[in-house]
Amino acid sequence: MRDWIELRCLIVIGVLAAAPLAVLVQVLAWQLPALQAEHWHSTGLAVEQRRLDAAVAQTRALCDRDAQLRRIAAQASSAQPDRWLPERRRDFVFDALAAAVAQPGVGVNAIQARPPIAYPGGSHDRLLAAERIVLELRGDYAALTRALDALAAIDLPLRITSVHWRMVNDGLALTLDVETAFVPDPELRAALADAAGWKEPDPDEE
Amino acid sequence: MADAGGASVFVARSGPTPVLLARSWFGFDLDASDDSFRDALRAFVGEHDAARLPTLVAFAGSGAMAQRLTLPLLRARLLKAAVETRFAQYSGARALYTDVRVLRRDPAARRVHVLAAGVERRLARRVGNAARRAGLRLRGMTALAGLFPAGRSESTVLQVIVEERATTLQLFEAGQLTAIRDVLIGRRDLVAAYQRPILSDRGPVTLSAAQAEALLADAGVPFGRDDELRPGITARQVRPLLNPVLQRLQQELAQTLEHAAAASGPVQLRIRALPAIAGLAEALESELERVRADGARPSSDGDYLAGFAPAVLRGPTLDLRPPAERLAARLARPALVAAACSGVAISANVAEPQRAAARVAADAPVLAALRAQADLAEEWYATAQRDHAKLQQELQSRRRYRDLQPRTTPVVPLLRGVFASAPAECTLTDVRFADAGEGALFIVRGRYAGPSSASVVIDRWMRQLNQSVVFAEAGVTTVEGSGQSEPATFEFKLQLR
Repeated sequence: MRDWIELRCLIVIGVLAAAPLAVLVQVLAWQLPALQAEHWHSTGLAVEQRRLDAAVAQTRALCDRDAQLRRIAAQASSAQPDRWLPERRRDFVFDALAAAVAQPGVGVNAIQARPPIAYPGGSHDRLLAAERIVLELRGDYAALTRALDALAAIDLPLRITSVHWRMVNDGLALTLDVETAFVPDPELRAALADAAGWKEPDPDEE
Repeated sequence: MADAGGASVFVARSGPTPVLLARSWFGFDLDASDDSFRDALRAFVGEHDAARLPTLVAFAGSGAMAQRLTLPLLRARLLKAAVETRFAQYSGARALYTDVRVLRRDPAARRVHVLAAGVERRLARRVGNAARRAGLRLRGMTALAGLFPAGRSESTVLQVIVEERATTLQLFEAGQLTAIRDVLIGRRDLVAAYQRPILSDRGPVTLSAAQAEALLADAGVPFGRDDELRPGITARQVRPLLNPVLQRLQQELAQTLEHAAAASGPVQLRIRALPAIAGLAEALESELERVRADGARPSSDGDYLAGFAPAVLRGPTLDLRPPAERLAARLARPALVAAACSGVAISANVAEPQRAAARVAADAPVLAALRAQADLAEEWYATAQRDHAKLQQELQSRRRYRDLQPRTTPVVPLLRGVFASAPAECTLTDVRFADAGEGALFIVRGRYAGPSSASVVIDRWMRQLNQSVVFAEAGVTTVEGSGQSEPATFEFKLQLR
């Protein structure tokens, strides 16, 4: 064994072992962490790029779907316009009706509001209400037909539910029941739903 | 060839390569005189400017041996073990460094012919240490008897190396060493012969050991001379003293030459003495009648060594260095290459982390911008999703409201249509319209006064109304009177589709 313990031999073997070890240490201790950091950085760039691309693509797709939906909605609206007011506007409706029937030769006996009703088929969370108004008019045939034409042309979601056209002693009388649909506020909606006997949905069932 | 002071160390210079010949037995005790040996060697190295030169140590004499052996065909490790076993017979209990060089394999006979050499470990270590401390670069250790000149010769050559106490006979055939033999006659025997009484002109003279040594160094073997070697002592007077030694040596040479000539034909003889002994070769050759010298002998021992020294330093030879030194020598170049490669790799990559960090730092703003853009895009996407959901909800609400809303009848145009379709003789006194749940209905009452029967007129009017796509059914409820003499009254209903 003593023959093998020789300084030069130990140095040579040490160099032979240390040389690759030094490279390994350099790679493991310095180069690898740096490369790993760079790799992470590159990965971060790629991830962010992918995130951006994905968000842009999703937004674009959503915008396309949105545009398509709006187009369909616009087509549906033009084919069948909404015939309700987005909220209750009783004064506006009164004024519009009064203006429409204020034709020469037409006497307005009464414009009378009745309590609103809920259209059937609704529910507590969604229902459509109707403002009900009774118009009593007098006049000759021409004046009343003008008033009727004006009502037909009025820019309101007007629905005539009842007409009574009759001769009276000094001319013609016309009684109209009209309705204007509107989306009620929550309070009115609840009241109308309760009046219609619709059950409030059970939160547990949802 | 030069003598390193009084120590038995000889260094032969061949160009830049010295060969260190170490003799362990002559006038120098390695065990006792390490310092003097080292000092002498150091002085010699300084004197001959041999420092840092690659050096080969060649052992001669006792403590070192070289033999040509025929052994069974074995693997290298076992071959070496066999050689060590064989050498143990000669070395006794002294540990040896050995090496084996295969000369020829004979697979048919399952034999291998090897040249084996060994040197005492203690001797090798001490000489090696001394050489290194003296400043020599030790490139190898071998047995002198195991060395042979470089180059190939087709003829058979007997090389005789006269050493201090022994003479090595090396037989080469076609450049291959085929036999080695040691004869126990050496320079020491010639010195001893000179110490015998000389019958000079002034009477018998006996030389001391130093005087005999000096005389041999000066005069060598005074073959063919008749001059005065020392005052009162001529060459003719000393030759009888040397003859017994020379004759014994000649007999040994003659036997070997006979044997070699019988096997291989004419033999060239090369006689060398280490250190040189003038006239020795001529004295020996003159008596060997059957041998003719080739005339191409080297003129000095230095030239002789010059023949093999560079060759053995370059090529494979018997290496008797300690195993650790041999391993170190074998691994030195790979270690150097590995260190250089590592250095290159490390220096080439030492800046890589900084470069990587610089790249990362340079890209950091890009990453930040990209991240901000991605966040913004995701925010936009979230907003778009909310808007889309709102739109969907709105459209759904609209659909639901549309479903909830009852059908709207165009009452005014229908009413005007009814008025317009009425026959001229009819007066409408009461018209009602009601939009009940099950369908819209007109109830029309009126009067008729005309030439035709009221029933006919009303019936014709009903058929006309029934043809309309608007009304599902038009039916008369009552008609009272004909209307021809007095006004008739009627009532009918119009059911809308």
